[in-house]
Amino acid sequence: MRAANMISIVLMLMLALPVIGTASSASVQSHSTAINGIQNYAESHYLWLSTFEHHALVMPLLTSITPPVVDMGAAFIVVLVVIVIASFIYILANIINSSNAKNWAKIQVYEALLSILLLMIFLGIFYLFLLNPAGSYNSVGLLPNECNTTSINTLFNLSACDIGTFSNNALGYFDLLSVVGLAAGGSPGIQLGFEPISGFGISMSISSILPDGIEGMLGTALSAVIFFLVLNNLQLILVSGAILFLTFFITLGVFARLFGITRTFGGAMIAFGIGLGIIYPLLISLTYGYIDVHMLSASGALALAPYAIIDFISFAYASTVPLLPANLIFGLGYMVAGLTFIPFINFIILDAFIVDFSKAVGEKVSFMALLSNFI
Amino acid sequence: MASRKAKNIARHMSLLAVLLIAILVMPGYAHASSGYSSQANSFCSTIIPKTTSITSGNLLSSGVLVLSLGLISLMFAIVGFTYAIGYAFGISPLLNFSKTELGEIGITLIIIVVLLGTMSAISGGSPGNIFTNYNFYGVYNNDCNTMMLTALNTTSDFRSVAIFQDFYSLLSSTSVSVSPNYFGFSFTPFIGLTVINQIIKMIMEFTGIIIGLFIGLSIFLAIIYGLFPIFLYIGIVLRTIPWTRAAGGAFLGLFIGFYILLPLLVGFVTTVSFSSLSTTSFPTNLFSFSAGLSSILNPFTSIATLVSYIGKNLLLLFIEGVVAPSIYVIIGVVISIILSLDFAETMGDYLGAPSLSSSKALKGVV
Repeated sequence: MRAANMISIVLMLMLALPVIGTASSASVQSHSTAINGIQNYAESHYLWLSTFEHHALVMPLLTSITPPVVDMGAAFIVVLVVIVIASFIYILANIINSSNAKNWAKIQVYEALLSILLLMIFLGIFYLFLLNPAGSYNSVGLLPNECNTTSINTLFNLSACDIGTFSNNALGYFDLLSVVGLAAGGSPGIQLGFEPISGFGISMSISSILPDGIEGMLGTALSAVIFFLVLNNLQLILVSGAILFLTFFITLGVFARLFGITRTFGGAMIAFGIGLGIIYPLLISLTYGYIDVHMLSASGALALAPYAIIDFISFAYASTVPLLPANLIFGLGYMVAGLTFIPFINFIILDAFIVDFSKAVGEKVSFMALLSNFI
Repeated sequence: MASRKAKNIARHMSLLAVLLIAILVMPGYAHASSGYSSQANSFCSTIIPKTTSITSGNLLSSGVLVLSLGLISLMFAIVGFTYAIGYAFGISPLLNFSKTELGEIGITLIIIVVLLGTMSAISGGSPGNIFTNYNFYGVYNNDCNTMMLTALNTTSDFRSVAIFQDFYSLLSSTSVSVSPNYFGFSFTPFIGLTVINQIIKMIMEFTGIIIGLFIGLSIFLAIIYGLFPIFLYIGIVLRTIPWTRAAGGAFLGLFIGFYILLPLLVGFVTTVSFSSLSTTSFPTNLFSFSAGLSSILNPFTSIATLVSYIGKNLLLLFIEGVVAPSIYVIIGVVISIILSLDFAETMGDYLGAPSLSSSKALKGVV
């Protein structure tokens, strides 16, 4: 029994070497696409900051989506080889009348068939996600204008566009808050003096008519926005690499599930791959699609900056409301929600899926635990 | 085990039906009009419209229902095929998997029938009309008005405190100089008022936080109102597929806990705690010319008067007029969020995402 196990493992390893090489090259291609996308996004935002006029929106578009046919095809072949070997061992077990070997062979066939079924379902869902979702999303008001272009033709592209649009708008709001802070520094002071007789007088002054606590509150707000913007870029990276995670982890997981000792690990990898590659882009496209549609764009918010300053001053010293233009209040509220509440809702749903799915097909792994340790 | 789970789900579904009926019968009422009620109404009507793109899409809900039923039929076929293979080859894991899946498919059918059926019955029509009934809008609009009215009525207090701070800053910088022939002395009799200024600064910061918090809560409710209906549809579809059942259960649990239960709880709690929150009137007698003159002539008496005013009048007014009503609403909202969160976890647990309650991730967020 042990000898049969060892021989089968060695044979499978020898067959798997070219498969791993193929999977690596396909993964590198997806990886480089993701890195290029992130670099494009970073460079575009630097240009936008320096000009402060034209907002060139560049998202990390996954323009070259390579369907993971090569990876999955190789995994299919390995699975078929495993079935052949297990069948061969089943025949041998019948000859030598070994019940343990028969049971082992049956389990191998079952796991291999389950792996084929999982592969077919994953490929089906993946190709479903390659369909153009623009019409469906537009009908329920989840397609922002910035993503309503011909290049956004898959769910992966749409999710990357949604989170990229939100990141650009959030950075714009951060810049607006910075401008308001700078403007607050220019608020005038008051100086009064009364000198009826030369050498005898009274004077009083304040350096700024702006209330003393405003600058402190603004500074705290800016620090918080910076912190959450950095965390938000983590989402951008996860979405940009969705296809990479899908192909790499599922291929690795299916392959690892074939061996008894790595079966649970393989199940966990499959759960990771489906979670980050399918569930997470779907969540991003829904939640950030809604936020982007209802949130005032960065350029629109900047255009309202002078009115915001006037409204705030009149609110502080007169009885007029609103304290800021209404659209700006909504935009700031959606920005805060998009940086705090929405990511946590997304991660909680993703974590629930990965934990339960990994428990069902392998060993339990918690995405939130990994993420919190990382952060 | 599947039948016990089905009984638990049926019991919780009946509780859910009671909550939905509460939405129907809960009266929409107006708070005591005071201060900025018209501005609050205008703001809330903008961010919480009567219909949204998601809720007005009859085709969406009907299409999702058809899609779910189609997926269920497909799963029945796959499970039956799997059972046949397991039976033929004697593979017990396949047999167990098939039996479990049959039970889960039955539970999904129960959820679809009870949840969508109850909601469409309340709306009075087909599954395509489950969100077009305005009772959801009425509850959310009511809660938003509570939050916004609290925020806007507090803005006048913020304004008063801001003016106070400027006045005390100006007063504390008063300098009297006596320097005939370019040689003499100067003193600032009211420099001690900078201590008072710090107290006023604290009051102003707290008031600003209250304003920001309640505006943020209004937008939070608006996001739940606008976005969470899609979670119902996605959750039903994902729950049908065995490998995405956990995600579907999480979606459904969050929908039930936050879209249905949270606004009800906020409405009930703020009904109990919310009183006629009017703007606070801070007396402004210190701004008179005579008060300023007397303070110059006798600074020590004036400081004592000012300190007494701060301690007795300003702080008391601030606590009674700003802090106390706001604290009631804040505590009510926090309790509502905690209870909704707990209910969302429980429902998610029964609907296919047991890790939602065991991982404590949601509790950590709160």
